[in-house]
Amino acid sequence: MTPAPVSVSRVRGRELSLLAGVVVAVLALGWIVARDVRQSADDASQLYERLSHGLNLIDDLQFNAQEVRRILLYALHTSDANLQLQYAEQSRAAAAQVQTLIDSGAAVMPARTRRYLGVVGQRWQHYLVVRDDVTGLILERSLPEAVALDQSRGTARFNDVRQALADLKASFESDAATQVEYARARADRATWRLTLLVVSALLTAAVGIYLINRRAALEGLLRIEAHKGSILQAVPDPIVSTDAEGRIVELNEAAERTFGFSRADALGTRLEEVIVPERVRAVLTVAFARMPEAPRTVWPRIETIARRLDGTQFPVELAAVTHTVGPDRIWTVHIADMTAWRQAEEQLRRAKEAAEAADRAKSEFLATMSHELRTPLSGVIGIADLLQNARLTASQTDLVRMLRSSASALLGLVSDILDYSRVEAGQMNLIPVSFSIQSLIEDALDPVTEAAARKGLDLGYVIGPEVPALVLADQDRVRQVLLNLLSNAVKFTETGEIAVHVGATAAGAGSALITVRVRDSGSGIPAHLHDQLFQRFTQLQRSPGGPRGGAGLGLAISERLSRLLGGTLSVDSAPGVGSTFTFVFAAGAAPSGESTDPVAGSLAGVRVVALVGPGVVGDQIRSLLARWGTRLRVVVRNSDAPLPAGDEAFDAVVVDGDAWDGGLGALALHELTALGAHLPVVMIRRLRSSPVREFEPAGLVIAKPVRASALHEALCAATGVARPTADLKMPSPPGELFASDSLAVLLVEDNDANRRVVQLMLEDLGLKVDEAADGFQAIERARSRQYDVILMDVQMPGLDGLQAARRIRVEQRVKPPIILALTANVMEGDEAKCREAGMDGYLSKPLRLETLAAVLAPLASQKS
Amino acid sequence: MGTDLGLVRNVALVAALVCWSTIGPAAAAPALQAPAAAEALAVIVHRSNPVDGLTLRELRQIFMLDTQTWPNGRKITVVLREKGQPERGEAIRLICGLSEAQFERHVLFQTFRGTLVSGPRSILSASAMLRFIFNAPGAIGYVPSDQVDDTTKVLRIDGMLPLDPRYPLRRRAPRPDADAHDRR
Repeated sequence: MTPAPVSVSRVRGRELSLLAGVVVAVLALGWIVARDVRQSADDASQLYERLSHGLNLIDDLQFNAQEVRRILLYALHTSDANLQLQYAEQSRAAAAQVQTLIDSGAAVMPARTRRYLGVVGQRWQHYLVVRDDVTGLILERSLPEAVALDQSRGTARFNDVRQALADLKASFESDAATQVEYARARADRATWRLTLLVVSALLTAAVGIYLINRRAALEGLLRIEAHKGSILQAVPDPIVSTDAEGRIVELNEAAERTFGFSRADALGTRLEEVIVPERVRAVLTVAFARMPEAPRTVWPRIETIARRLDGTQFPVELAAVTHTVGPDRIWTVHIADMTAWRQAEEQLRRAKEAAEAADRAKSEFLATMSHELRTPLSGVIGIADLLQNARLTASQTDLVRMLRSSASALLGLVSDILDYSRVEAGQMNLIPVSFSIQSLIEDALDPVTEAAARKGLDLGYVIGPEVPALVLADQDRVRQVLLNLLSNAVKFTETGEIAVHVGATAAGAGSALITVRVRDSGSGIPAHLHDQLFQRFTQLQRSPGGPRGGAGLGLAISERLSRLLGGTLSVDSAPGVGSTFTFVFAAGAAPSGESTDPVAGSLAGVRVVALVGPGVVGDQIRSLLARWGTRLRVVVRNSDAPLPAGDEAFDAVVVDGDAWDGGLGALALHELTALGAHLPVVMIRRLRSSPVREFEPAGLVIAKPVRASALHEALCAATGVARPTADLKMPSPPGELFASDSLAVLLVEDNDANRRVVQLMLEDLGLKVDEAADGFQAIERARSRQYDVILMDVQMPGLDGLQAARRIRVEQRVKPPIILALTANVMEGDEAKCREAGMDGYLSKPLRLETLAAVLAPLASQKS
Repeated sequence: MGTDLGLVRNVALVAALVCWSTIGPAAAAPALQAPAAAEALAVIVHRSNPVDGLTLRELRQIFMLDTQTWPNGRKITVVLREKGQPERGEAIRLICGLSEAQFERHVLFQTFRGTLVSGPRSILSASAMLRFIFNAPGAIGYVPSDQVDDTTKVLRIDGMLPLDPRYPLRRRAPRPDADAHDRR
């Protein structure tokens, strides 16, 4: 960039001197013209004076000369000497006047005319001689002589005078004409000069204005230029401007620095030759050629390679704009050095890869860990289960129960971790099955019942009538979320109740959004902590000294699971009010048609009076009884509703023993039973609440949370209504379901404890089992005997389960056994591996008795 | 009349001599002139007139219109003061020795006789007399000697200028008897 201020001052100095010169010239011209005009005006007035004076003088001369003669001749007409003398004197005076005029005229007349004046003077003198003679003759009374003299010589001489005067006048007039002409020429010259002056003054003014404007414009331009230049220089990236042929016309310091050439060298050279390496020139040329013609078009960014003067190359990103200045099209190219960017990208990519690798490693670790943990835990739990069925002392039974519960808790933790890692890894696959929401909720309430009873919390649920009885969803995941919410609710609630409300809204054809609301009356959570609730490994310090426990994964998993289930998990809570967790999941319509409760309306017409509290248990009883079709009278404790009058008859009484305690219930019952001779009583109470003596006659006691089937059964029993038992899906009671020879089972398991557990479970089911400790043994056994079912652990030392299964598949083609994998490897893809190895299915560890029975039962029936 | 003249002349001469001897010639002229100028008549002609002097007799002949041309042949024009003015009668008496009435009778006589070409001209004042003479080359007139200027020529009478004590045309104090006599 050229330093602007120098050129500004130089230009200013030049302009100032030019302007000053012009002004001086105009002033000088003005002075000359003023002098000319003044001079010509003076000349004209002088000329006028002189001419008028001269003409007057000539006129006076003529007049007075006439007078001289005329007056003298008056004297002829009188005889009075005095009068004659007077006329003569007058004539003489006039003559003297004439002479005076002639004398003064000499001073006035121009030289050429003065000659004529001299002639006039001479002739006048000649005439005066005659006149004097004539005067004398008149005075001497020689009138005839006087007249004769005047007529002869006087007239002639006077005519001479007149002629001379005429000549004088002519000469004077001609001279005057010349002078007038001269003065006019001079005035014309002055006029021309004046015109010139005006024109030049106008020109000067115009030039001055032009210069001032140009100055202002130039300074504005220079200011803008300096501003733009500083912007250009301030940009840390190279900026290069080229003309249409690609020759560099401007560049900034960053460009010099980056490419290593000096500005002087770069100007005029072609951009491609300087900074574009040979191998990308063609590409860029094409890119240039494809530029749209419109001005100010932004060039799309082009990533390419640039070359420095020393030959090194580096990645750049080009962005160009084009604009048209006059006939020239100018390209301005912004060149971003992408070296650092690329390095950062590379680093980022590596960091991301490292992080991903670390994350994978973590997931792997978690999976492996959980697998490794689950395997021994299965053994612990299995053994505990078996011990529970053994004959033990009461204290031993308690110990076993504690052992079982601790192991279960530990397994739950491990499962949580595994679940979470699977959800995080996106490996969680949903397995939709058809299930009853009511059963699901009752099952989910089970595990927290004991804890709730310990704290004196009421548990209950209300299912809205719009909720279908059977839905299609991943039951296990729904249960998992529900369990988590319930255990949290119990954990953080000290008094009151925990209520589950289920609703449904239609969401498209055949599907619905099921909303499960878990409301507790616990300590509540401040609003600002709600967001943290669903983050993993976060445990809120809800209250000082409040309960802690778990890995902090529960809500995080639940939230992710609910999203996976096509729903949401949200919280509405405030300290002191309690919390409501709302869990929404998408459910399809159950394929098997049963969308209503099979026992609905089964108790139609049965008259029931319900003595309940204001809480959820009352709501649950009311909703269940209403659904079953009873004629229901509900009396809520501490409400205004009175007890039924004496003339009303009832078939049964349902009492919430915890709500109607302290003798109040007994009193009410007493009144009611007094009415009807024998009124069956169904009492509902918490698991651990002390037995109420007053209710003893009732006999039928149901523990909270109330299972619908239990209440239904109790009411049927109390009122003698037949129960449609066939429709109720009661879990099969464990026991020896199979004949001992019904299935030939081979158990392959390297872990002794686990093998023992599964063996005991199978024996509990009535099956005899062969055992193998590894793959080789399994193959041996399979060769020696035809097995109907082979339960194969996958991970074993030596030959693992997959290889063993392949081998067995190859060898046992005639009557292939059912091979089921036993695995704690429940990561995605494991099942595929098992199937690829020729297995028919898999059983997830820890193995439960019911699962085992459910899997084996159809095989046994097939075989029989 | 001759005795009176002689007396006056003597007195003037004595006074002039006394004055001349006492105060010197420079102051003597006005002293000598004053009494003469007051009374003398200067006869004047045009300056171009060749005549420088006349005898009293010639002057009388001219004024009596007996001589009517100048020696050079030019006609003589006699100029007097207007009738009724004292200067007219005075001059006629001094020059012609006639009363005014006698002079008029003489002029009439001359006119009838046919010898007179043109009679004398009359002028109102001394200054007009001077200017008339100045303009008319053939004219002759008179003015009191103290009014003479250089526009005209003063003639010597009997060889004397008016300053001369013996200058003949000198007015006397007016005599009432003479006047009465004239009227008679």
